[in-house]
Amino acid sequence: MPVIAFASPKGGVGKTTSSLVLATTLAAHSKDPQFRVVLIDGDDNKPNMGWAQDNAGTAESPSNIEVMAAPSEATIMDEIKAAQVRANFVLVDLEGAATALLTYAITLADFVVVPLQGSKLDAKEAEKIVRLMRNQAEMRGKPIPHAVLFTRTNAAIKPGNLKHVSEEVQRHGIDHFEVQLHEREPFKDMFSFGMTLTQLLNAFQDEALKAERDGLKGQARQHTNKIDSIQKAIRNADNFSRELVAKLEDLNVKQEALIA
Amino acid sequence: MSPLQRNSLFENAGSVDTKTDALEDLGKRFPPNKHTTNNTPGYEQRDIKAFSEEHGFPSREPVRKKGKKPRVKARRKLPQTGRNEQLNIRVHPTVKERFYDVADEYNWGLGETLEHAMDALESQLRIGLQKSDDGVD
Repeated sequence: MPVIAFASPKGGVGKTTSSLVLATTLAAHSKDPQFRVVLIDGDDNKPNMGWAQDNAGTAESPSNIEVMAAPSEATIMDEIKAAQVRANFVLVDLEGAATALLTYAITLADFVVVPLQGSKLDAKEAEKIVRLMRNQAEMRGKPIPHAVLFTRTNAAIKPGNLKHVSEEVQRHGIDHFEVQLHEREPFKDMFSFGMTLTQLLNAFQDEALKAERDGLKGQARQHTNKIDSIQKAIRNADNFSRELVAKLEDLNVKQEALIA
Repeated sequence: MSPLQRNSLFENAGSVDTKTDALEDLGKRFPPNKHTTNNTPGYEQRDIKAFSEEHGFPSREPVRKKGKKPRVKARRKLPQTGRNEQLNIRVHPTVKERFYDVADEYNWGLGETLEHAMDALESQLRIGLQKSDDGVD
């Protein structure tokens, strides 16, 4: 039902990663066999489509995620509406460029995630899209809820740049996620192995067991470290998804209060 | 994390999330829409496009060039006349236009028009010859 767009006019800020992280996390948590997430890939290079192709050949490939290529500007709104009928969540990963496709998608979005890295240049680009959304809210007659998601951050160190940018975001009254999506190897592994985080965890647990059985202590230790890092990534992904769902529910409550 | 973990003695202890985990029962809490909705009332797709371009988010899709297409006159299908030989000649575009215009005006086929043109040409040439024989320029 809800449409969540990942938008930033700049490339490489983590739109694709955060959209796939959310899609796979939502899909992993639902026990309902009818549950479905549609992920629309609006990136020119179609990285999420590539992931889906790779994932189709893996063990325990999740059947409740449907990845589709974004259609043309003329039909994207119809496609999003159609996806809302067959899916519980519709995620739209948009290209890292200021284009009309982005405007069409955010017009229908219930929530827009604006991934941002802790640099001043990124913040400038993000500001562009926040301005677009604020102006569009006037045309739409209701606000487009959005929040900045700090991505590719370091779990241990908070560099000065990030601190400054995060203060700037707050000063401008832009909502942001408390959770940051850290720079973690398993997020990249999702694409290089074509797997979800849960699949990665299972695969490396199997490998660790095998190595232990074969007496390959060094390899087993490496796999154990990897497992630890995947578990951290899963917790990070869960917390981001949790915060997003909570934000959606807050909006629902507010909307229902308005209707009442 | 060890797979062996003691159960908590208290309900919901140890984690604030277990009380109402935002990721539980997602299917029930966020059901799909029953039918497609027109949830963009008040403005049209072309308004969004104009708005988008105004704010520096232009369309990246190829636009068909506006402007008049060259006028192509509808030509009649040529009747079966037994004219089986083909004559391909390169001509100046204006000559071609004149040729087609005459054919259209008299409702002649192209072969027929050429025959008339040849007749006219030959008779013109004959007249010219006669005139020169008579000593008139």
